[in-house]
Amino acid sequence: MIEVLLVLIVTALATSVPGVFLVLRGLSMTTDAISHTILLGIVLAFFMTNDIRSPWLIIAASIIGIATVYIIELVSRTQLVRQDAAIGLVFTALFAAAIVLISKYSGNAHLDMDVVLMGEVLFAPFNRIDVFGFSIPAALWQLSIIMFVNFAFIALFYKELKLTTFDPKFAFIAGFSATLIYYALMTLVSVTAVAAFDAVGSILVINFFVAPALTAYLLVRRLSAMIWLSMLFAVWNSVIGYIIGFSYDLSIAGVTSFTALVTFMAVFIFSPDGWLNGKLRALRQKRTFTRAMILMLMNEHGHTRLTAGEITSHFNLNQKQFDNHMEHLLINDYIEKKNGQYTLTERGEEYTHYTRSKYELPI
Amino acid sequence: MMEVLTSFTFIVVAAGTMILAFAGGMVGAISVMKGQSLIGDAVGHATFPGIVLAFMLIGVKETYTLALGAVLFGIIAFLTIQMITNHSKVTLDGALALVLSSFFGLGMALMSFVQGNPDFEGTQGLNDYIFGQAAYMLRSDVYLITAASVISLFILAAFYIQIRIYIFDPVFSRTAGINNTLMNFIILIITILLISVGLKAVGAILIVNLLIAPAVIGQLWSSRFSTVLLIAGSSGAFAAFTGTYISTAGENIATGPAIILTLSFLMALSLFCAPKGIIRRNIYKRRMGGVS
Amino acid sequence: MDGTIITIKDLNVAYQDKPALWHINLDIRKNSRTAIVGPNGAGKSTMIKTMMKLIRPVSGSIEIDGRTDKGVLKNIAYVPQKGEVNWDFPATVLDVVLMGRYVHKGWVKRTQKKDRDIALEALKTMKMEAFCDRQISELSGGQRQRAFLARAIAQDADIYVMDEPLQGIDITTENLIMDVIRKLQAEGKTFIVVHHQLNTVKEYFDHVVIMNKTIIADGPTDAVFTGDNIEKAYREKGVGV
Repeated sequence: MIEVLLVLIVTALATSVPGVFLVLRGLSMTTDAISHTILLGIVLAFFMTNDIRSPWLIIAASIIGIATVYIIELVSRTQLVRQDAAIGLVFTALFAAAIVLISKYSGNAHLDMDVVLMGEVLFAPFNRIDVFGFSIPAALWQLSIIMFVNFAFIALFYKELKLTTFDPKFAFIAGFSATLIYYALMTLVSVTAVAAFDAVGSILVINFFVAPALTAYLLVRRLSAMIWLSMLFAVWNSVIGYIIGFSYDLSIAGVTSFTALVTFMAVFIFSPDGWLNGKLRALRQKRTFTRAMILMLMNEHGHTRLTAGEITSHFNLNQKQFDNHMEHLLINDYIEKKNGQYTLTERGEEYTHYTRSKYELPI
Repeated sequence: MMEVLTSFTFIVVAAGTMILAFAGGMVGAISVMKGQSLIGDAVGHATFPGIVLAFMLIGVKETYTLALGAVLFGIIAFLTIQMITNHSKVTLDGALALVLSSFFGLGMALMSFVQGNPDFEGTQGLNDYIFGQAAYMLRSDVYLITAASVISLFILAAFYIQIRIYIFDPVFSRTAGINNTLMNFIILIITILLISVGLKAVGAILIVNLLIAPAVIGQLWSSRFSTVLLIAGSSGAFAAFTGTYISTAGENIATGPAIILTLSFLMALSLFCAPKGIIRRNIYKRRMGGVS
Repeated sequence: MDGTIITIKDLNVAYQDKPALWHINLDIRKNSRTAIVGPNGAGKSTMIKTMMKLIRPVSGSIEIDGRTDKGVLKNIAYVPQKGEVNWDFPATVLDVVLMGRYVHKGWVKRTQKKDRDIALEALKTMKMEAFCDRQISELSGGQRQRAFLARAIAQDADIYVMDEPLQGIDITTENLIMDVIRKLQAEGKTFIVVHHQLNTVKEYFDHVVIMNKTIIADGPTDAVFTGDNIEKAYREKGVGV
């Protein structure tokens, strides 16, 4: 069964590397559209060849994939339809056409919709071919080739991909065609998506493309790091997905996709620049600021002696917040309490000077 | 022809899909104008685990229960998307793709669990919610769609003025005392509601078309908010009728895809022929003498 | 001053069915510091984007250094407005400046040590060497502008075309940028700068183009930058058709 894991990992690696550029170019949903519409290509080619293993299926599907990108661009370039709406319109129309064709003409043919849409990586080892005398799953062989083509493309055109993604206008001036790079990338994406169908199905393939890249995006400062880290997350998600899916007899691709979200959310929440740290920092800043403001108020004329009531109403504090702040200020010896009134200590007064310069307030 | 039009199945299915498409067109128009067309797509996919989970917990394959699970997961998906885009540099495009596919993956995992487990019976039908099976719509399904549509349109009517201001000028609407967050949430809730009840008719993948295409058709024919909504609703209903007719009269044509293809045809037609369409614009350009 | 470096003849540009530039005839002097001024929507950005062949004109011709082919663009360092690129892109300041060197590399060719040195030198000129490993999203507005200008310097072009480089930056950066521009002019470079603040035109630029869809006036700043011309550009709502 190690072959199943291998197919899964190779699929994840082949998809996640181009995925980095899809994420950075805002093409995630365009890729989702492609992964649905290539079904139309598969169906059309299947009717012509009547062979689910025919290479024509991959070719036709890729052509439809590129056509999808082109039609979306054509529709949104009229400026009559927004790009996101164009994506939604085009992929549903082509997908609906595919479903109608399947239900109308393939009554007894072996084109199982569920397998195409859902994929099943567990079936991958059943279809084998001989390579250099070894019998390996056809999907593994096919996806490995595609993985190396993708790696080679990105290694070779790294500079061009980087430039056209970051600043397409400058790329044009520098003599690199952003359009050429774009369509080359989308051709590879289409081919990869078709090949990945067997293993993960057309709906989840988008997850394999973008989830690792999105997770890496949260952590990195450089493009090269994003690519390496995406590959790492791709393998991680696959291994976890495989172990859980296999142990509990669940859809492996499904579990892998959901694992990808869990991984993403974990990084999103707990990373150094993440959600949790952001919230805590904001909370700390607000607390420090409120305390500084209380001290500064006591430093003003006519406010040197304040009662608890005056402070709570001035800063709109509830009793718990008030107790918390006052305890902190008393322990640190910034203020003292006499006859139910609070006054600044010398240390507290010094602190207000520091505060004024910190927040750039007039002294 | 009369035979088809008076058949019981046709009446049930046509009524259900027309009401759904009318309300969906109107509500979808708002999302499209806000530039949030694809949220419906993400929500549509994300309802899948909700449906399976509702089935697992309550054990009946009844539309009302399943729709409840769908609504719940639609909301969770939307909140996740919003949290990601608000608190990180990840764009809406990326967040949609991530949440859409991960939730769907969860749905598939749950589904595989249910199918391999002898405790659960009669799971074959659940897949219908992915592709839609309008032909199996029951009278109770139509009642549910009608109820959801009436509620949605009622809410839309109640907040009509606020929503209109919110869409055209969010900054002004805030100064005018309109709660933008609330407006966005209301729009979203009715969108999720309609998606959830419409899954059986057109399926999780295609339902987004029902929200976008009528809206775009409306925008091509008019610039007035109210007229756009009306055209969106009516073109949705018209396509639903035509699509249902084609699928009932023809053989082996699923209703959902037939409706979507009809809508797509109307959409393409409008793109060329509408007052703001390509043909009129090219004629105008030529008259100006500025053809490039 | 030695002759003309850019010649624009009867240029017309339209967006869909709205004219953006109308009958533009313009000569830009070699080795000048030329400001392009005009009200919002006057087509200033459109004009320089058309020069860079980023927008296709309806009619007219643009000759740069006696050439009209695309290759001439490599000799122009274009500094876009800050908002035109994705600052969340995972790259360091040095990465961005190195992109200036890509102009001299063919397809597939990588940058070398020499390019790195040139990029670091450009960063030094812009007083950004301390930021070279900083992620670009962490930069302030002024620092972003300096990074862009460093990229332009690394490109080592003869003509600089800049879209509002002084927009929304602090006064220190503004002075630094103007110093660098003057220094490069002394080395023979030509500058074409879309400029927003009318009060600094005389101090910063020796030539000026005043426009509003069409050219109102152009020439040496002292002769052309008059109250009359400015009022003409800012009062009229552009040419109708």
